[in-house]
Amino acid sequence: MPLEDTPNFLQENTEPQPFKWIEDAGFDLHKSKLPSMDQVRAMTNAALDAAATSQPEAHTTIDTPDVFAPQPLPVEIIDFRQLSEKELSARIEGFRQDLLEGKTQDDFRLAA
Amino acid sequence: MSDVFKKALSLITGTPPKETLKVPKNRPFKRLTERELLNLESQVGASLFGPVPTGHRREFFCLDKDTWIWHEEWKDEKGAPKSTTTRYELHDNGILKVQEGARYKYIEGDELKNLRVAIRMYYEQVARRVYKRDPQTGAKLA
Repeated sequence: MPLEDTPNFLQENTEPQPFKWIEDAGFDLHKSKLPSMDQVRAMTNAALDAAATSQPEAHTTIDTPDVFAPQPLPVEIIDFRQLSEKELSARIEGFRQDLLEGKTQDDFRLAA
Repeated sequence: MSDVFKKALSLITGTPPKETLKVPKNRPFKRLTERELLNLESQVGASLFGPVPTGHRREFFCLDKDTWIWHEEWKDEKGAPKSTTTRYELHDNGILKVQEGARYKYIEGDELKNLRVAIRMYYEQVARRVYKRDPQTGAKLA
């Protein structure tokens, strides 16, 4: 591909500029002496704070399991053939009581 | 469904039609009583053992979590009414069969096996047909 056909950004100086933010903060790395460690630390914290406040969505788009979201209640699947006669009887009585107490009455009316 | 239609359907399909439960029609919007629920359950229970002989009335149902009832009525050769009621009590050490005349016996062998199968069939069908529940989960059927 001829050079003139390449996108502009490849013709520009796209080298990483790790110290650009220090220069943006007012320091000339070529003319001034390097900032002290305290200054670097302060500028780093300021840059992090700015990033945190300007892009709050960055903290909500992390792809992690949403453990606080409401989860459906687990459904207990049983093999009723393995239940004892007493357990089966208790389940039947439970269905009956649910209906007598009106917990499932509407469903039954519709079905009836 | 008329008897003629049921019989015709049975002849066509080769299988007896599934009986629908006789829900009391006079109070469709009122809560059913426990007795009515037991009656619905018993309709299912009575059908578990095949056709009821002509002239017989059969009841089989779970009375409570510890008790099952078998009741049968019929008329003898002379037309005299006969009936028998058997109560099966679920105990930790077995199933006690109680009949009239102070007859008590822990059942075993085929009788125990058949009752256990019947209770499972009863549970499965009553859950679905009477209470509209999934027998595996207890959840309401859609």
